[in-house]
Amino acid sequence: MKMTLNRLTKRYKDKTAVDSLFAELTPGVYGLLGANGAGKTTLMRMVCGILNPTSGNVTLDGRDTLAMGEGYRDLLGYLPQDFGYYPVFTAMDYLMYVAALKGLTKRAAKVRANELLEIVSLQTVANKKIRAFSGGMRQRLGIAQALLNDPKILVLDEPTAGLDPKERVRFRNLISEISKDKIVLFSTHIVSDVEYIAGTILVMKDGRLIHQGKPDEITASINGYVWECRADPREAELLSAKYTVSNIRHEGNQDMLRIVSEEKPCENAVQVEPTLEDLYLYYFSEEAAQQEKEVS
Amino acid sequence: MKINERKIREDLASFSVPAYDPEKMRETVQLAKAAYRERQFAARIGFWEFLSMQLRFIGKWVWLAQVVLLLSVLLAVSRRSFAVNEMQHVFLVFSCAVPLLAFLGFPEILKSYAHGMAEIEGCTRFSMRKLMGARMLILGLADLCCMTVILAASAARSGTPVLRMILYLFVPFNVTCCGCLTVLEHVKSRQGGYFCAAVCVLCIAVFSQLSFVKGFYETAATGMWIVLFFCSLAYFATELFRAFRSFDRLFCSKQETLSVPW
Amino acid sequence: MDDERLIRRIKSGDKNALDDLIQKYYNDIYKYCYRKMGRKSDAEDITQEAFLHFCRNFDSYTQRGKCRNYLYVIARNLCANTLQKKTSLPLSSIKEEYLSENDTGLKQVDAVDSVQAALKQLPEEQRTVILLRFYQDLKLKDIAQIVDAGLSVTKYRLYQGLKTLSKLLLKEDWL
Repeated sequence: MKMTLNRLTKRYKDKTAVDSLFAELTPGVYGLLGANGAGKTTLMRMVCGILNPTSGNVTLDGRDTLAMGEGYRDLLGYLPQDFGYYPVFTAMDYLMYVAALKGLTKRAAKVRANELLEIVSLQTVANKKIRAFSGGMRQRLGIAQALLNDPKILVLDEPTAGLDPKERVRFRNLISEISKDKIVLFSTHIVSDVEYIAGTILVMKDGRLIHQGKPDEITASINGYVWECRADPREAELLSAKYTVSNIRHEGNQDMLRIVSEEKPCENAVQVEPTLEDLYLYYFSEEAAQQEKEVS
Repeated sequence: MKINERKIREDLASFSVPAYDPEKMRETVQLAKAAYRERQFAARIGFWEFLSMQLRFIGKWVWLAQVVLLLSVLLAVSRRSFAVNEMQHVFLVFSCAVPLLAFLGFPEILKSYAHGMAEIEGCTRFSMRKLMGARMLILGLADLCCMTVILAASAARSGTPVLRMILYLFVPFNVTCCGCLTVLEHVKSRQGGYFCAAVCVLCIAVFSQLSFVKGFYETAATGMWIVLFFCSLAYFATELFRAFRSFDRLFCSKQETLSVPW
Repeated sequence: MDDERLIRRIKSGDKNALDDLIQKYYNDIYKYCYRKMGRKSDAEDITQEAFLHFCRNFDSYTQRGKCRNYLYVIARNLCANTLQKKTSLPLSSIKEEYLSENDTGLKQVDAVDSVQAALKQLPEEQRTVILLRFYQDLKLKDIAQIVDAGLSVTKYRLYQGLKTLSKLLLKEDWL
């Protein structure tokens, strides 16, 4: 099974959300890494066929997915970033409803819904209304609906949003278990999710795919740009203002800084092995700073 | 020749069978369970079964509201104290109120957009078009049944000819549906329900006002009503077609409507 | 547990129901296949395939007949397909396999030889009826359903089969 994203482009009046993106996906887990506004959601919507590309197309084993119609949608499981629910529905009603839309027989839907509720640990609240659920519970229910038809192509937009660390670990294990013979494409801001689950990472910035490869391959692209140096608090403050600092560790009366910079930031800085987090900051430090400003 | 069945049985019994491998049987059980499961989940329902399942998911308040409306009509019609000419006035009230019946189903049709479910629903085997089509078919048939009941109940008591009664009911109904379909085509959010309600109120107001216009509901105006009926029907068909085209257009403009196969 | 209840349990998603069904009929189907094919490995493979076929085509089992009969039909067809593909094995190899699987004396092996040889000489339809009647202890009505023939035709085949067997086995005794 091979999915090809052929020069996918989505242009709006005032911006280009996805710019001539090319990628070939075979069974495995793909982590889509990018800041807000990078075009991840737009890309995922085009992959799912609910958004028309301005140009380019998505093919599956050489066949245009839009032309495949319900044959393609039958293979698809999608969890949007923001998804709703009908307030009167219980968790079981919700899964039965989506199962009907996915074409499952009533019997198969019941069996599968029960299985999935157990997998996402919602079996005790199966008959409770969704409006009473916490954010994490709703997210788990969303993941469950995406898996109802045992999809060959699973597209998850920010699937770990709202999940606590324990739930995130469970989610990672679930993806690892089910990803055999499937194409799993998920987007996230949480670098550790991508690091642990994804076999291949797609780094997206301003609508373009700037990197694609295994985690160690893409972190190798910033070899020599990650430094560690010791400084006193005053110097540390100056360095933080000037460079992108991925971590500060206080050690007694000195600070240990981890800096992402193309140039050596200070005299005693030593090069260290880059991590995915360093890569994220290298490419998205401006966006990260902007987000921090918005939050504060 | 005489067949000695007992002798044959004894001879055949010598052909014994070695015991089977229990591991092979265990393997058979595992494989059989996997095969059954695969079959179970590979089966897909057709559109008619999908339609019947959607019936279950239509909000109960819609049916309740229709029943209440219908009961009110039947109650009004059954009042023996109304004379024939009073019944004609009662029927005019039905004619003005029928936009309410048309409106009742639209929030239910729009709920995918109102509750943010459209993105998930759009990616399923039965696309938005089929889902909306199923809802419209169910609710449309329910409305048709209600109108038939109102007509049948009123026909006996009212002195108005049946053809005119059909026109007086279906023209306001069609006009309201057209307005709501136009809303459906252009507004894909929670606001859609409010706009549909506004269309309904407007239609009720317009037809109520028209009921005071001398001659509007008279026999002489039947020709005009017939024209209105066919025009509203044509507009209804056009708006229905446009609304269907718009259902797969979740995030883009009119120019970018997907030509998705059904 | 009767078949109807088992089928209901399978349909309702009871995970152990299939287990129970296979436990119930595995031995019978295996024995039937062994007597048809003459080799243990073939018999086990075909038995497995019969149950898998049953599961894959569960919807087409409309319970017009007994579940057991349906399994025999599948097994019979699978045996026929397999036999068509294979060339018939010489008796000596069957003897060897029998010896390796059952450590018995030569007399019994010779008896098997003669019975098997006699059965092999029967036309396929008669052999099937004999196997189902005398080894699987099925009623003629059920056998008729399995072989998809009328009751009188089945009775006739049984009679003809017994007549031929009688001659063959009697001749063997004299020899």
